Amino acid sequence: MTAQEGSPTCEAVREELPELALGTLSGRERSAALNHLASCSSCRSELEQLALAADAVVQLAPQAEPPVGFEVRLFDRLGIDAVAPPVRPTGPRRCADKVVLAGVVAVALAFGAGWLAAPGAALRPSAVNGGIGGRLTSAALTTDGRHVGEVTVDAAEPSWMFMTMADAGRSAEVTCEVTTVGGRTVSVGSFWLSPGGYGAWGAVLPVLADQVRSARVVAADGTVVAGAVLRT
Amino acid sequence: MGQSGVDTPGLSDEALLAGMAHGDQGSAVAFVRRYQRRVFGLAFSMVGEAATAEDVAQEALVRVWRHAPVFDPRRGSVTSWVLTITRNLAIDALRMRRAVPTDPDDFVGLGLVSSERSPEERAVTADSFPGLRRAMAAMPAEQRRALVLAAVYGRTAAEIAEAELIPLGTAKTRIRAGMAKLRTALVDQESGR
Repeated sequence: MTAQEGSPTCEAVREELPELALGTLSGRERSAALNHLASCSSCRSELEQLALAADAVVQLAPQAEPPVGFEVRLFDRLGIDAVAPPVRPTGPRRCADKVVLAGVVAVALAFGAGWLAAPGAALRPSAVNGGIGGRLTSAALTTDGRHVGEVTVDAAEPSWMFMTMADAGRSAEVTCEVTTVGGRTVSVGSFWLSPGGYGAWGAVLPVLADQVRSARVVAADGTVVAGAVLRT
Repeated sequence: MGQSGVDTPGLSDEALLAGMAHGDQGSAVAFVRRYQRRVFGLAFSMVGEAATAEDVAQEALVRVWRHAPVFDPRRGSVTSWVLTITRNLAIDALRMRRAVPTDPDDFVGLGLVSSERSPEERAVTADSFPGLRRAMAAMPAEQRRALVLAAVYGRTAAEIAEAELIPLGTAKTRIRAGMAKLRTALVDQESGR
């Protein structure tokens, strides 16, 4: 802890942290607390704990069945026909592949941290098919039986994939390869694992997602960093 | 989940959001069916009126669909993000109507009593914070009210003091004490105590 000279002490700031975590502190008190937090890791840690508690209160709200027709009205606003045959997104969401790819990569980056926040999800191959749009399939990326990430492919047009990795044991540029059900191995692209072995990445698949049997991440020296079976 | 006709075994919220960001409508359908009861439930428990609660819940889920590409999980879970959007919209709706919030005791009381839920919903929500529920239940009523007014309705200590007809210092003390108990409950829960 290296609180700045002239800033409030930890003891004084901690009196204000609950309200700061709740987002209800304002004015001079908020300013002083933020000034102290900028240089005090101990108080920042305390604030993070309190923020988790504050967020959790909202999650205690009871569930309730929405009124009849809620879904229909909502999907109408979203431009989704939940009973129609497969359709592709229209309007502003229908965009060039490059834009789609950029979005996928951005989401993959976000998704990566999300997975890190909830490790252990979707350990086995799993899929969602709403009867419309694409079909997502996810599987765990493992190395020596250890869960180090997750890969998802979407059988949309074009098909795409994204993956996240954490604690993969190395920091390096790696290549993603997929093997089709016909036994063909195709390189999809490369991305960097940051220190600690963290990475998230997405790309349009050069093959149909339905044809992807497995995926693997390979280091420059040919070592397999992790693998996943999407279709057995 | 629940009344869903969409099969979503094992797919995380983040995976569905990623699909939504890509424009995948099946992901959106699955996500809506996974979350609509929670979103509507929070909205209804806050505004206390079905039509307004539907407006809030619909707008919240529309925003989730639109903003799925910019969701940043490093700042919290999907559940927290979705419910925070809902909460903020409900607060706006209450302000626009100059309405009085639902009695905080009702919010907490309903939340503490497990209503009828499907097994999937129970798996997702009801047991997520058992320690927190116990801690809330064990608090003095006035402390719990101050905490809910601040954490759910976004009321400042000064606003709570005015509403509860208590000194500002007392309001701050109640908030502080309530938050300390919740924090302890969460830490205990994480450490398995």
